[in-house]
Amino acid sequence: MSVILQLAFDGLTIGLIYVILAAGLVLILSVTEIFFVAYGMFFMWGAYAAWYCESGLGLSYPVAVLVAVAVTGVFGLLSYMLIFKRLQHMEGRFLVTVTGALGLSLILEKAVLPIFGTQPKSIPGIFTQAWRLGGVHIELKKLVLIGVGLLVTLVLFWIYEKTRVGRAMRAVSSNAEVAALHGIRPMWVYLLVMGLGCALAGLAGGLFAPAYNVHSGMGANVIANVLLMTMLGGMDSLLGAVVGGLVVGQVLSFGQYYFGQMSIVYLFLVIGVIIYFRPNGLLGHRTDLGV
Amino acid sequence: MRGFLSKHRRPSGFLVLLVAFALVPLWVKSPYYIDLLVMTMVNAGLAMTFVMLLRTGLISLCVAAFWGIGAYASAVLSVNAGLSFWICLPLSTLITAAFALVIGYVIIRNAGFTFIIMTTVLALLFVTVVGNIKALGGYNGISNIPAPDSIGSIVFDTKVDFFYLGLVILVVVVLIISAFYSSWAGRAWKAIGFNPRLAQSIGVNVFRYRLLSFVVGCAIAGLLGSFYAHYQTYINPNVFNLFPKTIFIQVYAVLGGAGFAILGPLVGAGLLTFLTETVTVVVQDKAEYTFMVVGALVILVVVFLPRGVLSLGEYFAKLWAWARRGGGRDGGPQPEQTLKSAGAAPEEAEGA
Repeated sequence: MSVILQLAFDGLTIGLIYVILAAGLVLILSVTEIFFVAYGMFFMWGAYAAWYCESGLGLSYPVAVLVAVAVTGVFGLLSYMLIFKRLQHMEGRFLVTVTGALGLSLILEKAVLPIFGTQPKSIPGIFTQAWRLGGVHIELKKLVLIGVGLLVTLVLFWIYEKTRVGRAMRAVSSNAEVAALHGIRPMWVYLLVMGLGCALAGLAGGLFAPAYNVHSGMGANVIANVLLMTMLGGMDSLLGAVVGGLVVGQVLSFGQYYFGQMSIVYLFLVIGVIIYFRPNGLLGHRTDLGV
Repeated sequence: MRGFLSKHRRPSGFLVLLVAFALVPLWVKSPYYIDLLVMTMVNAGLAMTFVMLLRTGLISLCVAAFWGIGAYASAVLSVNAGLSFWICLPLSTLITAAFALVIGYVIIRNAGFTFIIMTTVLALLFVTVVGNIKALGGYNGISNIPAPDSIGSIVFDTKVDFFYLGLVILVVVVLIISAFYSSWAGRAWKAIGFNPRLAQSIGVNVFRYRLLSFVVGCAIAGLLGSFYAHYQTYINPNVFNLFPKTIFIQVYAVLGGAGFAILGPLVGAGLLTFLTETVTVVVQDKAEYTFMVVGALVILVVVFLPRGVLSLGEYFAKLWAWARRGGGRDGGPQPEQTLKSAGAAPEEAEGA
């Protein structure tokens, strides 16, 4: 019993990281319609930035996370302004944006090695308190992670559903030209979404760093999971991202324990069946998000 | 003769290129460069399958995974079952096609983002799956894959022999692909790539034709994988990973020009394979710098030359025509007149 509770707790922790990641990716995919493969690399850069600020510069951990968020957000804005703004309206835009994103992820993935070295990093000594509660090992850093994750998700929902900015995002997501007719500049919304999405990836990376290890393969590892979540929940639904993140977190936590590394493959097969019957995922709406 | 050439300009151009390419090992003796040429041919074939899927509006990021399925099928059949390369080659092609049929049947339903995402995940999971299967050697891969059996007096023991074998395979692949393009299937693919809904409205079964292109493309990738496995004699799952192999395959196609189905991948693969090696020499074998340079190059190409290097040719042809017309003023003959007086007339005369 305690094993199951422990696995559920760990699944919730990693699931909230996935929720933040999937929410950012869903925003980028549905609003800008760019297949942003480099997203996982932004997650990795967030984790490395938090590690560097904490261990290298000696900042306190919350400040380090904020710096990581700022760094990845600015990276996202720059990548949109320098690369994707030009590619977005080209002939055959799906091919050129995918290619551009792949090139960017190649640069970002490999740039980590000469800058930070090949050794895995960790941030020790942050929120080290831990308790045993009914056989479950509860660490404070994981509790902090859960709290911040829930808070960020709620704020994101509030922005997306209740504010003018969120309404602009939804309008551009459903039809950019009609939104432009109503006085919304799609370019600013794209810019905002790219910045916000990449900042969310950086936040997830910063929160991930103390609880787990930071290494140069984590970006490529996480992108498969995040893409599976967006497929499960639907590519244009923020709620779908939350559901997908929590479900995949639990499934992977239990799957790793009972089936080992192959659990993600079984998950892929199950999601393949779901996609076959519900092509837009569980909570998605759009059918025309295509080439 | 001139009439024949102007009618069959493209095939005769390819024939000249082919003969010139086949003569290369006569004066390039270094095994290093022969190896690069063999890899160029494999890469060009893979990029052609990518372009083939692109024609029908599918952006597939799992070309390398199917290449890997072909390579692993062939390796297992020859190492464990002891079959000859000449049986493994068609068998692994069929196995890859069967995989493609099953996978494609599920993921092609909803083309567009779903397809791109599912192929990406597939490419990333290929490494995990193969790495966790003990029978396939796990992450260590399979080594000691035997070379092809000799046919008559031809023994495959040097890189030059593999060069000619690869050349034959590449020519077969090009012939298959161009046969498809010029048949009913190719016309349907073109219609789907132009506008899927329009194609559907005039009676083209979009799903079935997309599935056909997926299966054919993946089968060709499997064929090349079988050749690659027997050429390298050693394979491991990371060779077939999304980062960076599929990225490179896509870049070969885009760099050469995705609008050019055969010539684009050839030019792109040739340029990038040799460029990568040059960069590796310049940065003194630090692989991460090579990948970063290639990534930067990719971004530069898609931003400034999105239709590929070969589109420069069209641009210069236009420039040349413009210059011949006398720089935009009504100087020389118009293009239509030039064509009529220089190209078409002699042909008619010869016919008469």
